[in-house]
Amino acid sequence: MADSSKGKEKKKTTDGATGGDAPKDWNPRIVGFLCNWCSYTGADLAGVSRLQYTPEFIPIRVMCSGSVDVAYILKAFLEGADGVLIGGCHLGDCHYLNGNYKARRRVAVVKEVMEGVGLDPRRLHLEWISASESGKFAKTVSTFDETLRQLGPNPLAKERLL
Amino acid sequence: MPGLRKVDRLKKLLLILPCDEEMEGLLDPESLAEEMNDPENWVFARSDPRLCGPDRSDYIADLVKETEAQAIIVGGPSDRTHGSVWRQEASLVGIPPDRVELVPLVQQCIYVTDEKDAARRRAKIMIESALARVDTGIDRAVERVKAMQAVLVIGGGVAGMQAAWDLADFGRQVYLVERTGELGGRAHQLSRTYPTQDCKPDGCCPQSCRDCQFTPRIDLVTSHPLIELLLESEVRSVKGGIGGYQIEVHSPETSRLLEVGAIVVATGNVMFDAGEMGELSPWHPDVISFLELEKLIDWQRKEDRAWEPLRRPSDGKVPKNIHFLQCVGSRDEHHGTIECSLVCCTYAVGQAKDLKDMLPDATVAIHYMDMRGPYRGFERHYLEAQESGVLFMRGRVVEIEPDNGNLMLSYEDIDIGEPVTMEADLVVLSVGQLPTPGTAELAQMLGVPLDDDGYIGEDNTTYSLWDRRGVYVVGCAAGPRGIRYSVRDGREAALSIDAVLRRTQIELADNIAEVDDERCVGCGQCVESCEYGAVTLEERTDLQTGRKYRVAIVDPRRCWGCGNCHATCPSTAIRLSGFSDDQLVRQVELASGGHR
Amino acid sequence: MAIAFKWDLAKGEDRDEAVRRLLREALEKGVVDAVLVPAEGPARTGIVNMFTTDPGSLDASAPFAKAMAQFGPQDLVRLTEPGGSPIRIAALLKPCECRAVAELAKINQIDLEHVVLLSPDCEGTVELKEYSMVADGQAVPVRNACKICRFHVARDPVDVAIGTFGVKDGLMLVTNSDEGQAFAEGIGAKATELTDARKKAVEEAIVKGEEAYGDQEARSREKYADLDTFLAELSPCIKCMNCQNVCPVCYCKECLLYTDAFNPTAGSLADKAKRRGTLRMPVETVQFHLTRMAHVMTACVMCGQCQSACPSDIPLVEMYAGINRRIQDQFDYEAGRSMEEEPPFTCFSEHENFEVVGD
Repeated sequence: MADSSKGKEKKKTTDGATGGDAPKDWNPRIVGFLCNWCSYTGADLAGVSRLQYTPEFIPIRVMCSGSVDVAYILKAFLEGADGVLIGGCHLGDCHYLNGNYKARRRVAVVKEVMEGVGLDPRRLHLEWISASESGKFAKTVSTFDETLRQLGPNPLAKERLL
Repeated sequence: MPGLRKVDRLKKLLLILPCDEEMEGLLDPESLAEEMNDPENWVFARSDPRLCGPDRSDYIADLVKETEAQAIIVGGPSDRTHGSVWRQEASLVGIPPDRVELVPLVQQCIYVTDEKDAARRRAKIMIESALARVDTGIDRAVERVKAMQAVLVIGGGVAGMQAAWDLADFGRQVYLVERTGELGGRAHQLSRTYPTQDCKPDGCCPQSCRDCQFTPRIDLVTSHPLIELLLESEVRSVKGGIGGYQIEVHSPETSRLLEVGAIVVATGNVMFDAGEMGELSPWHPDVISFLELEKLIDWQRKEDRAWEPLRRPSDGKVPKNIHFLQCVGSRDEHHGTIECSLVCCTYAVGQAKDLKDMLPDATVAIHYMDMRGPYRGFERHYLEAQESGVLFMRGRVVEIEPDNGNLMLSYEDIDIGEPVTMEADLVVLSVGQLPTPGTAELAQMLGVPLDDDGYIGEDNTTYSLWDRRGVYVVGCAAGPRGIRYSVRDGREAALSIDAVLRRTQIELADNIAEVDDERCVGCGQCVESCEYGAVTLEERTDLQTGRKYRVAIVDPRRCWGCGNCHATCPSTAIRLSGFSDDQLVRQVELASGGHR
Repeated sequence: MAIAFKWDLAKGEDRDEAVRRLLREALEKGVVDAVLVPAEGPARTGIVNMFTTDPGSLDASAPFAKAMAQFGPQDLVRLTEPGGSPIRIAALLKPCECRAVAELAKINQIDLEHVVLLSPDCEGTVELKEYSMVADGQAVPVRNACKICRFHVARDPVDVAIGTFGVKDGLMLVTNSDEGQAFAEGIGAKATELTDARKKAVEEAIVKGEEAYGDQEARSREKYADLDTFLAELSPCIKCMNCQNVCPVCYCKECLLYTDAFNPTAGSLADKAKRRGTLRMPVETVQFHLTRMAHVMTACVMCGQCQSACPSDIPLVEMYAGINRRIQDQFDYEAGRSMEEEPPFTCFSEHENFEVVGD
């Protein structure tokens, strides 16, 4: 589960959205930043392994999870994404030595900022998925999708004047 | 799908491959291409069986001619598997690699869902994203650097010597840096090699095998005019990258700066020190490692003692009960390494058989977990040892206690399932192999990753980082291996290096960080975030105002294109080509779904 | 190790005058070549920083000014730029400004080699535009940021803290570095012991500050638990970028949000409007604020200059109070606490933030 320990304390979602408000045909849109070496390859493998997950997950290939700028993450939410998934290599397996550790720091900051302005930090999910973990990839996307269904649509998505 | 925008930067040829049956069923490539086709906005979409046939290149050439396309977007395969194929295809029609995008419809779309509408929507977003990427990409001239032709070899064992010798034979200047005072490495301490026993103890050659056995003979390397030998020397610092490394080497009383185009790392590995396993009484003179046994055998063979029996170290008695212990500091969670050290079974079997031949009345036993001989000829070698009377006992010896001048071994025999004690008068430990101390520091200097086990990581076979870096790790520096494999490593590295450096100019990799001087404030956070030392700060003077300022600069030879610097820079003054803000922000906009 | 010095008041002298005399000594004895210090602007209607090499001009300085001049740390960026003349500068700034100076020094924007940082204990400052009222002797409440300040007393890496809290007669100069000690000795200050009264007063100021901040943090977190509050408060933002311009730790030449990537062309704006239905113009106002928070919060010293400069009175201090300490705590970091602490985005620890990863 994408969650900060602070998020867990609260029973209700922090950003005021609830699954109940969702339009009938709503499916959570997820933007996925996948690192070239592990998670993107894991996503490739998930496909050829015939593993299904929500088609509303849109992949964006990046070279390293550590190259994902905080501005992109925030941009995704402001453009209406219900969730952002960042997939990197497992700690210690980063193709670029330790980019994933740096990604973890940025995600920690963005989650705090999100919580600080009232956007549920569970909408941002960081996961280590290796190139061979197609099952983990599909499961991560599906579980995240489930979480987002519970959280409901991104409240920024209904606000037009942003 | 067409947007309102009528001004696009590039004419784009969108090829949706109809080669996959399931793709055919779910996405209907032909109608998808029809829908995406938007000549007014310079998107020319095609889906044709010819794209999957033998005349593909000709067909694409025709299409490019017809549409005047400046970029190619391929819907179907993933960049990870087919990126290089399509970039090569594009280069045939004069389209540069940074104007080729692959949309992994096969891997990441058609199997994701059974719903046609959802799959099609997803496919369209992914395709639009790729179209936007080429439109917003920043054209980059392919970086080319002229290569220095000399090569540095670090380590003078068999692997390093082979590499040095071959490279010198190709006509290259080679600097061979060796930490100790002599060449040969560990192989030089061995009296013979197994299972390829070129000499028999009772054969015609009374000389120590090592002098003729080793593929690159030490004399040949030492006397080669193009090999400069730097003994008792160490690498202190490494600057630059492929084609142009500057390496500081400390030798006794001197320090030199070598300029080379590529580096061979042949630093070997070290033997596990059994000293930490007190339960095996490693201090006892008759508990020796297999290398010490080599010395005994070697001593006995030399100086015309060929017919004298081997004697044990403590009191010079001829041993009657010789026991080999396998996996000491290997395959062990608590000592040495969890990994198998690969050569010890082969070696112990050979030594045991030699001892049995030498001392037919003695008991020679090997205590092992599994017999692992990953070499051709091992099984014959193993059978011969069994036939000659060597005993094989499955189980791990847990304790060795000195007893009346002899040694008592306690262990559990796995085959009979009972604890057993047994007397020995000479114990040989087949100790494991561990990374050479200093490997981590060297890897850091060279900017190559270290594996969990402390060795420098193996090269990726589909995407060679070594070729890109100009750094080749050979022999036991890349993990335990037999002599012939080390030698072959050295030769392979020499061939690779020769192929890479022979090009008059080296094309650097696709994605390299670039600095926008206008935006850079010289804060140096990118410098700190670069693990490869590719970014440095430089002080410059504005020629018009005379004002001094600091700015980051990237050494393209050292950059690996990870983009961590970009994410660290708050003002986006440093960017990764192929992953610019323009591209990523546009992709995010398209992927995020808009507002409801 | 902190070493204390005494700086007595001369007869009839107040604390401001004592510090002026201290700075004058420093110039006259050649301890430094120049001084950067707050001063009252013309007609006593505002506070500015003055940079001077003339001991005589220090009469206009206002070391304990009840308002904060703008751009103190940024002045030091300019004064210590590469290739500048290596003059020795004594810079007297508020404790929060000094912490910003440390942040800038860590990222090569300020060269502290020839700078002695002086900082008097601070009881808070009023809005600049209200300074004339203070000058007239009226009681004016301090700025919001000062009400929740955790750092009324300068600590490392300030060279010389000019202590008034718990100091009855005169001033206590508490030096935190060799340079600070040399400065105090150079101007002829007498070494003394840190008194218990001083220690206690500092302790109390810290406890009080932590309490006030903690209360505000809790209030902020409650207030902004709902996204609507945040969006409503940003509604009057005119995107003047004042908050960014006055921010001492926002150091880019040009903000990322001004680049082409975030400033779509006419064509793509139309595209975007079509996709989204509506766009707020100019674009990216909320993106600007969120990105700024993520970029700056690790280095933010909570000086509140952003809010003071906001023409729409957006309560930025309140927004930041909910996350400032929490973010820095995650990395065991405190902006301006120590020159040894690396900026959080350039380093990492293998054992941290496990809760942000899935599973």
